[in-house]
This record gives sequence, structure tokens and C-alpha cells, in this order.
Amino acid sequence: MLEFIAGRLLRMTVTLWVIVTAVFLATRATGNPIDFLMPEGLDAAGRRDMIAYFGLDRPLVEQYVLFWKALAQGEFGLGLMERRAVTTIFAERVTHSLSLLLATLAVTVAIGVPLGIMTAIRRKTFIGNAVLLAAFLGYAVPNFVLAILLLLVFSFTLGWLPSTGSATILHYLMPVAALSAFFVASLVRYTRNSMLDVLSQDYMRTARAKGLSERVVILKHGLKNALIPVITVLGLQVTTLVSGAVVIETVFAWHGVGDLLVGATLRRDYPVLQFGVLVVACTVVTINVMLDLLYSEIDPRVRLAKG
Amino acid sequence: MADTALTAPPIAAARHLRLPPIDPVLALCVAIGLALLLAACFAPLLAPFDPDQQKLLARLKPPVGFERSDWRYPLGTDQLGRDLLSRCLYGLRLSLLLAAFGALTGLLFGAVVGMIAGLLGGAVDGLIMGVCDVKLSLPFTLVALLVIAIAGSSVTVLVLVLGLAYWAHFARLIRAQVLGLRELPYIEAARAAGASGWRIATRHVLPNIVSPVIVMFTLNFSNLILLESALSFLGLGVQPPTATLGSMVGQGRDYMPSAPWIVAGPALLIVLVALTVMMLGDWLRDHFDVRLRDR
Repeated sequence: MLEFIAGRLLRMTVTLWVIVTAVFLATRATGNPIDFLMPEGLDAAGRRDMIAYFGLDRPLVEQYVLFWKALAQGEFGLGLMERRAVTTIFAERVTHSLSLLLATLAVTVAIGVPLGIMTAIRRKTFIGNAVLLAAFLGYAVPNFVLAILLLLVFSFTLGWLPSTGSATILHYLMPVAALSAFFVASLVRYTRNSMLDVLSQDYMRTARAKGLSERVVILKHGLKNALIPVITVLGLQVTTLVSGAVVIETVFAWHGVGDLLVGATLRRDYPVLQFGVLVVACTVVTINVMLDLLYSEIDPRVRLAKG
Repeated sequence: MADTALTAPPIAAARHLRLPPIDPVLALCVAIGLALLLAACFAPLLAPFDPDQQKLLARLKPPVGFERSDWRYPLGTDQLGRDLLSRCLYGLRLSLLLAAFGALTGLLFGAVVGMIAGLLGGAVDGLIMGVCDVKLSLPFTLVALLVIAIAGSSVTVLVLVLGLAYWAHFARLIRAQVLGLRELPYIEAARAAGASGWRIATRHVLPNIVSPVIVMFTLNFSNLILLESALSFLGLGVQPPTATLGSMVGQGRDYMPSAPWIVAGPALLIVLVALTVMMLGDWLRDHFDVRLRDR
């Protein structure tokens, strides 16, 4: 077990190192970011000063060392647009994004798992097929189209829900719905498949033969086993969820990290973008490793197979 | 095997040749897919106007069937008086092209890398799979944002970004297939006969991994359409005035309360294209994967 954890942590460290280095190289790959940052009509001397100020005239290796030194000291520079420390800009945004993500995750599990079980048990019934069809639609409708559709109906036509902002619970309804549709759809499909696999197992027949009620058979013997691969899939979806949130936050002017990063890309605000990519990527990688360790705790087969 | 085929009664042979019954949903998907493909191919012939031509006197015309509509603009016009039918056709064309080239780029790169990893093994394999792991553990939108911020947004950059999206998936699939095949007798026989690594890769391994690759290609194609439209929607894709389906939705967004038709057409098209390709991909997967047939 220790060896397994150590292996995972080592891989995580290597991954994080690759991410940091890739971000460093990427932001310096195409000549000088200075040209995007400076006001037009800047003279050559001013440009040289700015390059020297940001340390962009030094050798790449030296810049790399400085980059790590700054990271270690928690100095990530100032946002070019707001002229404030990127860490401060982020701190203001992070809770908004987290609350959106957690709400989406909760809704996804609360709706996806029961529907998945239902479609597995009520196979080839009208309602089962209807849910599956809806799940297929949820897969194909991109989140921003769904978001716009919701806006059109509930904000502009009916006027029931606010179109932007995140102040009240009402503000959450549309973004969470638009973001979770895809994940509910995929969770329904995975839960269904996993449940179907489990339903045909010998131990299910044994449980029924013992005279247990159908409820106990399905929930205790079936679901418990079916959920292991479902949790794995949910973990893999974290990256997709973060990607989706970037788009949804932009649509609803949600004051979160995704909205910030898109803005930073459009305005080529490198310090913000660089820091954002680093933080989000590292968080996601860490979450994935944690989940990985968690499954090996739940399901010893994982540990034996991979470790 | 040959013997039984020869002695089998002719009826059985005829039954074997008969086509499977046509699934109506599949037929519909194929029909819609072909129609969309033809519309995209012949967009320059079908479009009544230049998609970027602005007519300030014909701004914000609603589609046919609504008040104030004009038969010359069946789907209406946008805020600059551009004909939406023409823009939808050209947008569809560009979106499909981008997704196709993106998927091809990813496939080519993934195939080469995956074959190398699978055939060489050892440290090279470990390195390549390590890079794949890093790629798969990142939210791809972040990578896309970074690349676009640095390289700017043009058609070439966009194809590259879309190609980057799924190469690791292809590489993993192809490596796994190659590993499965590597120990099979006929590969060994080819190697014993003195065939070069290149020849084994192209003549013996590649043809045998085509079907799962086709399935993955189709499913990724629909994902790329969604990814491209999302990037264009955010204003990070092809730059205006050139239309793609995503950018039409993105730019029409501001006019939604008063002119929802600007967004409606391209949004519906995106869903239609993605749904059709996805259904086809699903069907292909079920068709090739015998284990799933009973579901």
C-alpha cells in the first residue's frame, strides 16, 4: 500500500513539474509578450526598459530559475489589466467558481445516479427509453447553447430568473442546470451500464434466492458494487467539468476563475493566465490523485491490478 | 472453415449475404448527415448572398413566417444585415472543415506516437505514456486558452488546438491495440520472415486496428464540433467577420432579447450536427463491438 501511494505521489510530482515547465516555456515561446502589453507607439528605449524590467532579456535558463524562485516565494506578479497581485485577483474569484462546481456536482449525483438505476431496472419500458433519449440529447447539446436557451426562456421571455450575477440562489439555477446537463447525461449512461453488469452477477441471484426484498437486493448488493466504476468516471470528469465551467461562467457573467481566464486570454493578460492555468491544472491533478488513492481504499482490486 | 462454406446449402449462403434490416433511426441519421455534408460542400452555390455582405437597410429581419419578414432572407438577417441562411451554410462548412482537420491532425499524431510506443516499448513507451497522462489530466480548455493567447487565433492555430485535444486518446487506443497484436502469430511470422519494423507497422498492424480507430474518430469528431463551437462562441476561434456556427451564436448573444433568430439557427445546427455524428458513432461502436450487441 505504501509503495502504491509513493508511486502515485511521485507521478503527481512529475506531472506538476511538466505543467509548470510547459507553462513557462509556452508563455515565452513566441518572442516577447511585451509587444502585446505595451501601449502603441512605445519607443525603442521604453520597450527595452520594459523587457529588462520583466527580466525577459536574460538567458532562458536564468529566467527559468527566477520563475521557480518566484513560485517558491508565492510571487506571481501583477495582473496587467488591474495592476494588482494576481493572487489577490484570484482569491476574490475562487469561491464563486468553487460554489458553482460543488452545486453542479451535487445536482449531477443527486439526479444522475437514481435515473441511471431506474433505466437499468426498467429496461425496455417507455419511461426508461425516454430518459435514455434525454440523456443522449444532454450529450449532444453543448452547454453554451443550453445556457442561451435557458436565458431566452426564463430571463428574456418569462422574466423569472436573473440573467447574470451570482448573488442569490435564483442566480444559481440556470448556470447549474446548463453545466450539469452533460454530466447528468453521462452519469445516467455509466450508472446504467455498470448496473446492468452487476445485475447479471451470481451474487445478485444469490441475494434474491436468500429471500431478500428487491429493494435490499438492488440498493445494498447491486448499487454498492455498481458505484465503484461510477466514482472512477466521476473523477475523470473533473477535468471536463472545469472546462465546461469556463464557458458557462462567461455566458452568465459569473464572477469566477473561468470568466477571468477567458478575459485574460482575450486581452493577453499573461501573468493572470499563467497563474490561472498553473493553479487550476495543479488542483485538478491533485484531486485526481486523491480520488485514485480513495478508490484503492474502497476497492482493493484497483491496488492489486495497478500497484 | 473453407470446407464448411463449400458444403453449406446455398440458402444459408444467401442468408449470409442478405443485408441486415434497416434501422429507421440510423437511416434518418445517415440522411441528415449526408444532407448536412452536401449543404456544407456546396455552400458557395446554395448561399443566396455573400455571407459577409452587410446591408444596413435590411438589418434584423426576422425569418419567414414572422412579421416584417422578407422572402429574400428565409432565415432572416443579423444586426449588420447579413443574410443568416448564407452565414449558416458557410458557418457549417467551416465548422465541419475545422473539426475534420482537427480530428485528422489528432489521429495522425496520436497514431504515430501510439505506434512508436507500442512497437518500441521500454523507456520510449514509458515517456510517451507519461506525456499522455499529463495531457489527459488537464482540463483541455486551459491548454486551448494558453495556446490561443500565445499564437493568436487563426484557422491554422485552431486546427492545431483541435488536433491537440484528442491525440492522447488516439495514442493510448492505438498503443493498446498494437500491444495486443504484437504477440500474435502472424506478426511474429512477418518478423521471422525479415520484414522491417516500418513494413510490419504499416502492412500488418495498421489494417488490423482500423475499426476501433474509426469508432473513436467519429465520436471525437462530434466532440470537436462542440469544442470548436465553444471556442468560437467565446470569441477565441476564427475571427470575425468569418462565420462559424459557434461564433454566430456568440455574437448574436447580445441581440437575444430582441432578435432571438440570430442565435436560433446556428445553435440548432450545432446540435443537429453533433447529434447526428454521435448517433453514427454510437451505431458504429455497437456494430463493431460484439459484446455490446445485446444492450
